[in-house]
Amino acid sequence: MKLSPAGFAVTLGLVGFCILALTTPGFISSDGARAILLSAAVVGTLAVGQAIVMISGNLFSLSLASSAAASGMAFMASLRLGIEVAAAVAIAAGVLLNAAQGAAVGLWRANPIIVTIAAAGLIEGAAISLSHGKVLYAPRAEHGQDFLTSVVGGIPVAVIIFLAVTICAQLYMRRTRTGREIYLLGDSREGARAGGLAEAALTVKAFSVAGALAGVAGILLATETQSAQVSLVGTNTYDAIAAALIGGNAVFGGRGSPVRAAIGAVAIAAITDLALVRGYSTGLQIAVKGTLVVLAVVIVRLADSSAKTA
Amino acid sequence: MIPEKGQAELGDVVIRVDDIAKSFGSTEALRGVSLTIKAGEIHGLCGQNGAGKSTLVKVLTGQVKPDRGIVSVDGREVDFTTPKDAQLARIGFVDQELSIVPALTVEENLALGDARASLFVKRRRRRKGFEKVLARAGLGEISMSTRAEYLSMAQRQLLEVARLLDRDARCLILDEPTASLSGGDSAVIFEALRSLAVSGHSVLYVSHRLDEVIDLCDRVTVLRDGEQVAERPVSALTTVELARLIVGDSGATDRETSAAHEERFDAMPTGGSRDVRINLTYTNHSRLADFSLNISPGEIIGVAGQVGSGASDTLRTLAGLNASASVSIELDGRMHRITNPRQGPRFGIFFLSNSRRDEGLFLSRSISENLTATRLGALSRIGVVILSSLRRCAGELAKTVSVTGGSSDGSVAELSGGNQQKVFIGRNLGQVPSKLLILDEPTRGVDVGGRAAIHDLIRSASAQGTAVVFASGDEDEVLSLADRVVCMQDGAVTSTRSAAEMTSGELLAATTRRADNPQEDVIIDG
Repeated sequence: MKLSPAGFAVTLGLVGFCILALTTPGFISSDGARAILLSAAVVGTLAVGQAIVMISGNLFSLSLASSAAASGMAFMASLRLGIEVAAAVAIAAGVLLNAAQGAAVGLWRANPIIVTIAAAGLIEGAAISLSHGKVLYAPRAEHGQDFLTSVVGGIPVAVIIFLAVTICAQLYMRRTRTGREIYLLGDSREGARAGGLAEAALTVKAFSVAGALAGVAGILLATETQSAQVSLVGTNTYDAIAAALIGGNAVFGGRGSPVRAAIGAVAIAAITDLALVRGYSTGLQIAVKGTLVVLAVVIVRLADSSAKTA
Repeated sequence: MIPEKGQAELGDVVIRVDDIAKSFGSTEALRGVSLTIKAGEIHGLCGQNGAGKSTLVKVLTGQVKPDRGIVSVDGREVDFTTPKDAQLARIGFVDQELSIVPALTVEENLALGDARASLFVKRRRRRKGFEKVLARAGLGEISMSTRAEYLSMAQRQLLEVARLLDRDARCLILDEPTASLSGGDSAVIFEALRSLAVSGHSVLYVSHRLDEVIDLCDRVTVLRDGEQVAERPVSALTTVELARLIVGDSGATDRETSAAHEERFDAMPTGGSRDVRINLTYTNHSRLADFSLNISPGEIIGVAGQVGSGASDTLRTLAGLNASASVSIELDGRMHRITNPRQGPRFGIFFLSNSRRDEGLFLSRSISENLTATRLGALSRIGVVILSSLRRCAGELAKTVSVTGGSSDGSVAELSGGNQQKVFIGRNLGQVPSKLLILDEPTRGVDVGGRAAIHDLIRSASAQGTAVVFASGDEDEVLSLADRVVCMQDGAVTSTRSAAEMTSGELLAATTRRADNPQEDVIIDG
């Protein structure tokens, strides 16, 4: 069986991981697997959003976790109106906040990095000021939020949601006209333009879907701690980008997929967990993550240039 | 005179090229070309697109290694492995795409890319040298701290020449230097080149502008299909004879027979279809002149012109890709204003750009995705793409254009250039209903067989009543395919004639004649 250099590297990595995993007592267990998936849920959902932005050729969003935090706060604030309303508010907030950024990038050809950095600042600033700097706690009364932290059929609901949105995003990107056109747009903006595709509308849609996913991630974040505040942003934006890259998405657009991003998030969670159980320091864990990102990017690039003839 | 350094006397052969051959894959770009360039001469290099001019230039400048043959400078054989070797051998090259950085000053531009540069730049010494070369290049009046963006195109060309002179270039190769220049600007370049020749430099002047070649050059070499077909002193040539040497006697190879032509026009749906009326108006700053054209349904219009003539720009404007033009296209009696490229397809107007890599194909996607890229709307219901329809459509299109090599799911990037072009065309043909097809260089990079196939496809589209406007720099193709030919030069239409009445030589002459240099109307036989 012939393996491309990319396939070889990935296989090597998998083999290495398995060896380490098998030699770490207590790592392989269903509890362990559940813990890994759970810790991957938030970053994974965000990573799927990042993947869609990447596929559309707009690099990535540096405000995705900020809007997730804002959605989480919106969720907490509206919980007393019922969980369905709160969820709708959170997701709508995510869509609106990101559609606006998509419009700036798509209509005015603004640089996505600059727009999203600015948006992150604006969103976080607005969130702090609207909440008066206070943490938003879940209402003591049960409005359905406990469901989100429960377990169904042995699988945490958060994980089910993560997997469900990943599958939906995958189907959206592969099976709908918009999704497929987003791939084309990311592959060649000029080609899409000359071919009459609606570049601006597609960009807005890509950002909007990412925003909806950020809304879902925000809900998951908030229910983890039953509270929401701006610090929920944490390092999630960058972790999501790293996850999307490690899974094999390319920054330069037109290729990759939501599923890959999800796999990347799970891979990071698994490796981080393994490192934790083996007692590696936090510094080492971060270094490993960084190395993986670099390797993944190089492998994707090599695989891409060998596929394309001059 | 050129100082020191053991120079050649005027008239000595400075560069000799013997039996150079180069193939790229299965394409033979050069088939044994020999050429000499003498000191103090301006030597013209002419030939159609694909004749081998740029490959020859690449061999001389070290960008490409020949498969066979010898390049000698001053009688000594040389083997260039990189462009730096050519620079050190005192051969300099000014590409059509200038390598002047607008944001840098004249001085900084002169210093760019010097093969002899050390880590630290010795400013004062270089300044003196720069002043000298700027003067020699005819830019003595320009201050060195002027930013290059303030220079005119002609001045930028000369700045490149100055840079080469600073590198001690003795032989200067210029590729289409006047392609985007007007008459006055060209004169500036000519003056500089003539004075350089007088002082012992050699110039290899690659150009499509036959008038200029006859005007400026001492000798001219003509390449055709990778071979040298003539090397003559210019004094023995007229523009017309030069044109004939360039196109050869083969003429239009794949012209429709008059019977087929009749058949095509008979097959066209009658009744109701009206002329397509096109009107393009440009803003004041545009190089392009306002353009109007009426096309009968099913008529094929060939827009012929050299690089910089405006042919390609006109087609792009028609497609809605030019923000500084006002485009109105009347179809079936209804007027449409086109302001962006998304509107055309809604009315049955489809565009094929001349750059399939940058503006056409989606290289990381599969063949079938590329074939169906612009019609996903028709293949979906409530936004969801119906995969079976997609596959069927892709299959039909692939068969129609007979793409070979690779399955439908194969990557388009792995196809040959010709097949890629077929995929690109396949996307636009078979769009129903189509009223107007705008094709910019429809057979670019396609071999003779593929070309004929694509021409047939275009003719069958026309037989269904679609009007076709195409641009091509290949005279044979224009005459084979078009019913009517529109010649363009310097941004304006210079003539419109029926293709049947023209020969390739006449067409070439018509698109390369300088407006201020009217020649007798020439009728050539054959």
